[in-house]
Amino acid sequence: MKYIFSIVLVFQFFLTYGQAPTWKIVPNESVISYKAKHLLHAWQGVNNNVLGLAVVDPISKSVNRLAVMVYVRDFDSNNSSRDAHALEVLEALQFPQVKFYTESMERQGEYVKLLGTLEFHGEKVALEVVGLAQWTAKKLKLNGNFEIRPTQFKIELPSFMMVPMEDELVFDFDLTFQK
Amino acid sequence: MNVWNIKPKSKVRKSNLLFFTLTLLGQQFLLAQDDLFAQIENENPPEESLLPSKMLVTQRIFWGENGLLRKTKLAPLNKINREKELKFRRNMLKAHQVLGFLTLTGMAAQGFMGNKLYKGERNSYKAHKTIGNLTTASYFTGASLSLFAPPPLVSKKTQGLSSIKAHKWLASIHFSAMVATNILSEENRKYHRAAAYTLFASYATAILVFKF
Repeated sequence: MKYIFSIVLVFQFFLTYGQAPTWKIVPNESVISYKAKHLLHAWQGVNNNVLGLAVVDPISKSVNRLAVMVYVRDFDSNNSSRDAHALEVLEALQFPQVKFYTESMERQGEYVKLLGTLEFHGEKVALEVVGLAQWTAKKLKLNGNFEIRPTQFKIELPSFMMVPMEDELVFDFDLTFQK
Repeated sequence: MNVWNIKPKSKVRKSNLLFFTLTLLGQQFLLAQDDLFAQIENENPPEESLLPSKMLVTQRIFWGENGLLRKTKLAPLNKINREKELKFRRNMLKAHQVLGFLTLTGMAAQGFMGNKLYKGERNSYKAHKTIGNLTTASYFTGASLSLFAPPPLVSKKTQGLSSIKAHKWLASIHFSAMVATNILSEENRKYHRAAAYTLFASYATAILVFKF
């Protein structure tokens, strides 16, 4: 009887904890920023509070699952009025986060192609992100950029002087995951 | 032989095995359901505050946690109401922008007519006064739309000079100049003109420096 219990417990332990390790984003080494344009000027917003987890296989240098999340409140464009306005447009109380999730990562040397889903303003859109991946024994650094069209996510483009901003946001990301 | 030591072994085994198998299956099911985002959110729960840490006095009086609209239960503080308030705020600030341009146009017209008056062309006095009243009304309506709008969701402290800081500093100048222009219109023409020029310059600059 004890023998069976032991086997079941060991089996259960490995099922629970013996999976591929989950690495966590290092907040002070990770940043996501966006660039936006209006007829009159361009601006940039930075988010230093990036959250995320990656289920990795450091031996084969592959990512099995990756989830990155930011709160829209944490973007700072050094203009409080603009940031406040952005939260109104993005309906931040209803949709407080931007999420990216992938289970598909293709490697080509140091470059990786992530095929995932971006959830923004409550809308999920398939997204392909190409970036550079640098592996060490305990860290994975991912950086790159991607573009989106806010209207794809049913975001009403904010206007200034009756002119709406351009329907394009360019995101740059620099993420560090740690064991 | 002690009969009390005899245990129905097979029954114990079966029930225990059943228990562990169910636990195992349940755990695997939970693991399959487990979402990485749920883990992230558990460790980093979202900011729940509905009001910014700081807001204008005019906004606090009406929309603050203990503001008039909260106390009278006309706009209780909750997530649904705040969503509505933020939409209302957007519309108020859009109207503030439109009235800003109308007011600036009125001020430019006033400058043109005021100059004529100073040159002795008295026939434009009535028009100057009418446009002056309309511009003043438009100015204070526009200002009220900004001052009494529901507060934003957050109010961040920006470092250094920013367009919104310049816009607010210039607002305190043109507000004082607007009051002075109206008070001095009948009392002292020389100072009335100086106040009007200050008003126009600071108001136009406040619009020019503003970026969204």
